[in-house]
Amino acid sequence: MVAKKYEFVDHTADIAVRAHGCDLDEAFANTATAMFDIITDGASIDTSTEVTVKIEAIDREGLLVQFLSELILIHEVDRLVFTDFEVSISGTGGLKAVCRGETFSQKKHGGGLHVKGVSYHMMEIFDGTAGEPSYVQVLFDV
Amino acid sequence: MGWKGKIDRIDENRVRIPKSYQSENLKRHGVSMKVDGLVYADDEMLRSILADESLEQVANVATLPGIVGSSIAMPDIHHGYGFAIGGVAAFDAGSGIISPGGVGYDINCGVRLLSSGLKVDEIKPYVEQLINAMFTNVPCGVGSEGRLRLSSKEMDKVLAEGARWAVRAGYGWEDDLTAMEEGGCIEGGDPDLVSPNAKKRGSGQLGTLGAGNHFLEIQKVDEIFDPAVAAVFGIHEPGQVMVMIHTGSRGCGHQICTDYLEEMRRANRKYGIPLVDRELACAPASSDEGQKYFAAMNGGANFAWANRQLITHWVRQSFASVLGRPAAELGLSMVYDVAHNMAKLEKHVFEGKERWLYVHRKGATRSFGPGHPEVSARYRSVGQPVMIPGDMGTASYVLVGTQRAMDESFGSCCHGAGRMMSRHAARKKHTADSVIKMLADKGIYLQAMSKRVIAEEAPDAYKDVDRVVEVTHRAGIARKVARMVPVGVVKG
Repeated sequence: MVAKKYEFVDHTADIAVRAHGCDLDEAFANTATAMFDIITDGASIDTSTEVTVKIEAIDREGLLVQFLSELILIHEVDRLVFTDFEVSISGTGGLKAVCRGETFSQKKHGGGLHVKGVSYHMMEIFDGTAGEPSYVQVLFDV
Repeated sequence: MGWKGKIDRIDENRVRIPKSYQSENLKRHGVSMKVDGLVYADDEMLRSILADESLEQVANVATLPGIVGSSIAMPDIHHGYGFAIGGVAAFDAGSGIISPGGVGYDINCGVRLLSSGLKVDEIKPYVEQLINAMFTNVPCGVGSEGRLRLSSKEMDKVLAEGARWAVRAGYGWEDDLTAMEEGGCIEGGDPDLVSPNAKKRGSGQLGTLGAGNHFLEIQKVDEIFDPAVAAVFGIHEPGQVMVMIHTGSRGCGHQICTDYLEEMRRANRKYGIPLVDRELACAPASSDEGQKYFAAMNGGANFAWANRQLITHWVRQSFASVLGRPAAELGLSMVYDVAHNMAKLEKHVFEGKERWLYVHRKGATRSFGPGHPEVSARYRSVGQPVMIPGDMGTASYVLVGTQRAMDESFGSCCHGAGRMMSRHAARKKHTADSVIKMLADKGIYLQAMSKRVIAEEAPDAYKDVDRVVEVTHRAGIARKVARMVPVGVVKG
């Protein structure tokens, strides 16, 4: 596990995040954590519900965008919020994630921003090798 | 960070980025600008524009196939994703492209303005009650649920018919539809091309405000610049009470953009369009992929018009219940409703020839001039009303479209103040309580769902709206009609 899960990157209108991980799986997971910290007060989310997400895409960038977009969809349609993610990426085109969280409550979780979409702009995906940590950078439209 | 290329001043309100500009990014992708960049800004505005990446984005858009005229930046431009926010780009309907990134996730995010027969002194004792009633009646903030449960059949009607559906369902007055861009319903919105996910995400959110920069405001007219045009718009005297609504297509539009961005990425490979930024993903406008996106986007736009229509209805109900008089008696009638995130198929005269163009406005407003057939009949003699919302502590404007805009900017102008401070920086600088106090000192009552949003939306996070409007007015792409200041604000 990395010491710092993510940090915000300067962007005028929207919110950009750089998330870290010992490997890409962890970096993707930490990006999802960052996203729910934008939407709510992430620290207040318990893990009573588990949802598994499977994604296929044409490249790794697509995997990241579609993974996060799927979480937004589940959040808005099923009214769930998540805090804990176990991601496993296979090759460049497949991803499976076990996501743990609970039903959203404005009272318990507070309100932040709606994440409208996950953009490809400023996206960076660095797959660390030989002990180097991995990171991903992503811009959310809010 | 910041612009390092050449820039030529045309006059005090305009600068040009010559198409000879070559960034490292353009070189790396082996592409060049097909047209110049045209930026509306005076020297002071330009300083903040040059500090971020927005002009690189203007240059990037100029590389896309079929772009006509210039890649245009309005004075409120700021760094977006792919296309900058405050950008206008027109593409030939035959040889050009259409791009979800040129519209944004919030399809038909827009502004609606209601006038009233009330004077601010009459409502002063009731402002808190009015704002609280609106805050209760219009669901807002993260996780808010709409008050309606739409069947899938009804959802399809919303996507096809927009505000027309809402008025027919009892949410509004027949007359409302005659004071909206496209009459509140754009042709060609096709529910079959909107994914089940987008419908699921949207159906629970119709009639909700959202969070972030979306708002409801009670305003008072502060100054009238053009009394004759103002009178046509129903704006009669300083102190008149107005209501402004700023929101868009909610999860429905966001999901349509998400879905079609993936479709466009595949189309990009298929058609071999070189991209300098993945978020510029696009397809030939005339292709199957391009036309499908256009039809789905129009569906999203109709959702947004229906959304603002429902909210209008609940705003009227709030006024009626607090003031104890029917909304019609209070004169809460439509001034206009404009879209500021859209791609539209429009006929323009360019270099003396009529051309059909897909005009992308991302954070930019139509400002069609007098006599244009697409301006509502009641305003056709003077031009289209343009509403420019400012930050919640300063002012908003009503402008009118001009022939100059038709000649120069494909009938477009600015859309708002435009952010200049990141949300993170705003939160470091302000607390919610300090912003609430700052507004209270100005006589503005704020009700918001999220304390974080209050700090992030602090007035100084935005550019000076007066200056944005001044540059727009001096450049002649819209003319000032009236200035309004907020009295009460609802935020998500």
